Order: sequence, then C-alpha cells, then structure tokens
Amino acid sequence: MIRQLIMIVAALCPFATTAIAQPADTFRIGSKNFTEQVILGELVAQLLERGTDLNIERRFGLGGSDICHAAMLNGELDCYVEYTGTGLLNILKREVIKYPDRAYRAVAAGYRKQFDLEWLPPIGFNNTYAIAVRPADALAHGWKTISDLAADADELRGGFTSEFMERPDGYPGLAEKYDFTLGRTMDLDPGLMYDALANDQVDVICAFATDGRIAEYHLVVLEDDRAFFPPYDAAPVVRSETLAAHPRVREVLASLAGTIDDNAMRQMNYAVDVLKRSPAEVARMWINNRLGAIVAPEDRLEGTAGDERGVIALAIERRSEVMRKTGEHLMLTFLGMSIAIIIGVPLGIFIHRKAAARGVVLAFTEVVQTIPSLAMLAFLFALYGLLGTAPAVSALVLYALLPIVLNTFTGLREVPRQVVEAANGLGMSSSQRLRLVELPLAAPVIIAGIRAATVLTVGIATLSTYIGAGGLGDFIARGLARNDSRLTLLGAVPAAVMAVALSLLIRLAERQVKRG
Amino acid sequence: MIRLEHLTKSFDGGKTYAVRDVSLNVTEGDTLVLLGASGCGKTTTLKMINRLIEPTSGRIELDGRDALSADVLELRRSIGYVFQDIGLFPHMTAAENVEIVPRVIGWPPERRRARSTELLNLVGLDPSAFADRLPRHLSGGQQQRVGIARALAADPSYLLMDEPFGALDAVTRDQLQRELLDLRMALHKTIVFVTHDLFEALRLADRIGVMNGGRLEQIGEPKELLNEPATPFVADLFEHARRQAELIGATS
Repeated sequence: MIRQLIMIVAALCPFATTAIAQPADTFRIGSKNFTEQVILGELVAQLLERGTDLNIERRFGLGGSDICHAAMLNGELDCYVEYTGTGLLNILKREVIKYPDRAYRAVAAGYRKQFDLEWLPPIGFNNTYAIAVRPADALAHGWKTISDLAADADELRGGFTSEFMERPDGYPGLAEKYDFTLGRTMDLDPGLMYDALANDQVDVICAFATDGRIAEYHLVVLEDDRAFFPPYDAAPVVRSETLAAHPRVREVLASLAGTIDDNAMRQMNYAVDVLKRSPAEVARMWINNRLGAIVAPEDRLEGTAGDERGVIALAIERRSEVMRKTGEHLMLTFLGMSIAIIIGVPLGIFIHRKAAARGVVLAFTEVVQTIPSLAMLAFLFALYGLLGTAPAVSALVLYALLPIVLNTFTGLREVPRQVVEAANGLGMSSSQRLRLVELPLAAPVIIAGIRAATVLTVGIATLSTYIGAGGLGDFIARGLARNDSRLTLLGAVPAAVMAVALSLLIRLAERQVKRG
Repeated sequence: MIRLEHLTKSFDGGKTYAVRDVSLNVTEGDTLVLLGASGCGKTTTLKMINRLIEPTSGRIELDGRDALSADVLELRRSIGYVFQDIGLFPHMTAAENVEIVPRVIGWPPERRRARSTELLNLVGLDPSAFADRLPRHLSGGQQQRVGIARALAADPSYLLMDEPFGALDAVTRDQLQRELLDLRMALHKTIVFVTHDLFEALRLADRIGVMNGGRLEQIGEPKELLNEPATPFVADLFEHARRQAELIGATS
C-alpha cells in the first residue's frame, strides 16, 4: 500500500520521464563512497582521458555496490571498479570461493551471462576485510589470529561498517565461522572507524586491507586463520556494449592489469587519507610514475608536502567549486520545494474539504517522514533506474510534503467559522471562497509550513551525493569518507548558511502577508 | 414578496424538528421580525430562505419563483445578508468588504469603488476616513455598519438580518436601529429580521412572527399580537414585556 503510494507520488514528478540523453561518445565512470574507490575512479578516468578521445564523466561517491551495479545495468554508468568477493557474494549471491583465480573466473563468467557486463583483468591488489585491533591490546592478550579473540569476545566492542554488519561475508558469517559473538557492536561510518578504534571507543574493526590508516595508526591486523574472508581482487567492470563500441577502452585499461599491489594501493590511500592529497593528484602521480611502485610517503611524497592548510585557506582555494556545489544545492532545494508546493498545497486543500481522505493522506506523509533518507534515495533510484537529479528531487519532495500539507490543512481549518459562513451567505462559489477568503487568511500558516519544509530540504539535500546528484553533500561525504573535517565543513557551513538565509527570507514574506 | 409554505427542517432525520411547518408571507417593502428565544428556530428559518440551510420539506417562493430549484449562488447574491457575528473578512478593508459581492459578480473596479463610497456614506461612515481600514481597526458598531453596507452592495430586493445588533452595546444598538428605520424609508427593501428582543421587534417591525419550539405561534401586526394574542405563549411574552415597561415607567 505505502509502496504503491510512493510510486504514485514519485510518478507525478515531472522528472520521472526525463531520461537523460547522452551523446554517444560520453563515457561515465562511477565509484563508491570511500577513498580507494575515488582514487581508482580517477585512475580509470585519467587513463581514458589520455588514451582516448572519449568525453569522460565522473560520477564518484555513489552510496554502495548495489547502487553502482544498478546504474551499470540501466546504462547510467559505463564503468566502475568492483571487487571479486563483492561481485560474487553480494551481486551474484553465490558462495564464497577461496582461490582468487577461480573467484575471478566465476564472477567474470557470471557477470557476462547475467548482466552483459565485462570484468577486465584484475588491477593486482586484494582489498579484503582485515580484522584490526590496537597494538597494545594485541600485545597484552597475545592476539595473533582471529581465533584468539574468542576467549575475550564477551568483553569486546566491535565497530563495523553498516555494510559489514549485513553482508554474508561480514560479521554474521564471521561470528558463525569462528564461533563467537562480540559483547557489543556498533555501526560506524567507514571514515570514523579508525578514529573510534584509536580513541578506545571500540576494540575491533573491520579495516580494509589496503587502507592507509592501518599503517598510520600502527594497527595490528589479525590473521584470518580459518580462511573466512574471500578474495577481493579489484578490477574494472565495463558494459559489454560500451566495450564493443569503443574497443580502445579495453586496450587502455589493460595497462592497469597487475600494476598495483596491496602495498602500492595502501600508500595511495595513505596519501589521500592522511597526507590530505586529492585523489586526482594521487592518480596523476601514479600514472606519471607508471609501473614504478608509488614512492613511499616518507621520502618523495614528504618532499612535496601534504596539504595541511586550514579550512579557510582551503575554502578560498576551492571557492569556485564551493560556489558551484552551492548552486547545485540551491537548485536541488528549489526544484524539490517548487514541486512539493505544487503538490502539497492542493493536497492540503483537498483534505480540508474531503474529511474522508484526511486520515490516509496525513498518515502517508507521516510515514514518509519516518523512512530513513538513504533508504528512500536507494528506493527511488531503483524505481527510476536513474542516478542524479530526478530521484534526489523526488526524495526531497516526499520529505517536504508533510509540513506543507499539514500547514495548508491547519491554516484552512483555522479560518473563523463565521467568516466562511459570510462567504457562503454572500454567494461566493467554493473556488471564489478559496481564492478570496480562505487562502489569504491561511497564507501565514501555509508559508510557515513552507519555511519549515525548506530548512528540512536543505538538510536532506546533502544526502543527494549518495546517488550522484551533487550539491554540498559531496564535500560532506568526501570529508566523512576521508576523515577530513575541513572538507566536511566546506559542505556543512554553506548548507547551514543557506538554511538560515532561506528561512529568514521566507520569514520576511510571512510578515509581509500577515501585515497584508 | 417572500412566501414560505409548510417549511420544515429536521437535523436528525425526523426525530426532532428545528423548524416545523412554518408558513408565512412577507409583502414587498415590508419588514417581518421573527421573534423568539434562542433555539426556537427563527435563525434556521432565516437561513433556509437563502439556503444556507436546505429545508427538509416545504416550499420557498421569492416573487413567485421557486427558490429551492434556483441556482443557489445566484439566489444568495440576489439576497442581502447581515450576520449576527458580523463576519467581515479580516484581511480586507472596509471598502473591499463592501465591494465583495459586486466583485464576485464581475463589476468593473471603478463601478465597485463608486458603489462602496456611496454605501459607506449611506451607513454613516465617511469613506475618506474608513474605506481603507481593516475590520480590526473599527468599533463593533462601525463593523456592523460595514456589514449592512456589504449586504446592500449589489442592490438586492431582499435583506435578511440575523440578530445583527445582538452583539452591540445598548447605545450603539439604539442608534443603529434608528438608522435602519431611515434606511428602510430610503431603500424600500423587503426585510426579514431575526431577534429575541421584543422592544427591537416592536420598533422595527411591520409585522411580527412569534416562534416557539420550531413552530410559528402567531404572525401579525404588533398591535394585533398585543391585543389579540392567539396563544398563551404570545400572551405571556407581551405581559412580561408590559411589566418591564411599567417598571421603567414607575422608576422614572
């Protein structure tokens, strides 16, 4: 029932039909929302920019494997880098295959058959999960393998990504395979996990084997002595259709095969996460030093000095990007609010007049409010089969409906009874009564609802980044993913300013109307 | 000419009757006052005439035409209505309130403005001082003057007045009653006026209809009701009033 209602409302949005027509020579590269993925996305993008004349479009920071995969299937993406284990278990829903070669062959065959997607040769590193602990704890308890944790499991706190908590090759499978459960677990953002461990908030995390922060925090990675984690060899996945149309892509990307080992990937991640270099810059350096293992951070990278500037200096340097993202954010907010008003105000009028519809409509708008924003985005993305503006704006519309509908209804209900009777007694038709009497009198309350909805929308629009709709959320998500608070602030501060400014602006309009 | 035949209203499907079998005529240019205590059905009767309340059964004729089969909006626009709680539109100025019916029926703005100026003058409100005031900046008496002007705006033949002075203080009420008498002389409207105040009824009425428990007890000229009460209820009503009047006479 609710699902159907969501679909109906979503279908009402005019964006539902605007399939984005792209010129044939555009090649769209995606990535998930963590550092390594963005670096790999950049690598692929820059190699293709140098080696082909394709028009490369970057859609980085998408909210998970499922979204990337769905985007590949419906042609929203041409390529992204995936890991064999993820493809096998999460996408193909197969059993774990322990041997890397066999896993790769199985996943490549499965993808070709089921999805018409092609796995290019593996890049070389295996970014498997790595159960990591603080060195002091490892020393004190003599932990070397994951099995060693069993004795103390009851007292340990696990900090895992939400994906790890649910994946068959994540915590549930791990607990079963090693036959222990931790005393407590909490879901953490991948960017915060390492800090949480270092600050003694949790005792065990699911690090990524190639994460630069393992080295930075000198974490101890416990041996997977029961061989639970499957191999996660990274390789570019490309649409077969695109490969056929642009055979040069295969040649260019073949140069990546087997070139980056675990250590090289870890250093690139370290350069971004710890030394605060941009993924684009790190990718460029790698390409320039092609095949030479990337220089250790201690020597050559240090020579060129990491980016340690303050947030203000960063904001000034990247002002044009900040302006552009602010513009995108404003546009998302504006589109979402315009459509929400066009739908919400008439809906409020409707339920004011038809008491029978009131319960259903209000319950619907309330239920929508309780749907977590990311779940909503993922759902709308699946519904549209499109990334970007259309599903993002639809989500904003759905969240903005409640305050607008409720305030329109309340504003109309509060029009004094004798005034409504006078309008009827003087012979106004119901539309004249609405236009000349009820709406003008309800206007301050309706506008207050629009103001509340606008503030809400500016906030929720920051999540649009996870389905590639841009906006200030891009900075926030990147900042979170890289544990770089400066980047987070670059998005959060303009968003807060925007919310306050729009609220003040609408409040002015509200006063104007009240004075009327 | 207003003609009601066996007019009946039940709000609960016939268990009880707010108005039961009321028949009466109001001759053109006359003022009929419906008099009775609250809950007697007088306001319900009034509201049925312009179909703010639809009758359960019976017939209403205005100038010989069946009001119940007429277009309800046109019917209401052709009847001036003054409300008990005034009901001015709080977001519109005095002039805009007066101009509302002309606006709804599509008069051009200049004609509307000329009409509201004329009517504000007629009800004793200097347009240069009052036209642009919002209702909340007017006294109760001034508000109801605007209410009367609003009812007269499209020059209706009929005027329905539902205890229009009930909420006003005694002095203002007296003044407005006097002005209404003057207006009647000037405008020649057929008026149905609802009140629970016998003295107001005696002062304004050509004829009085006394209502009690949803029924019309008696209808006639004030003198008839006073001298030949048809029911004990009517007799008591006037007897009670007479004693009050004597009390005032004795005190002065």
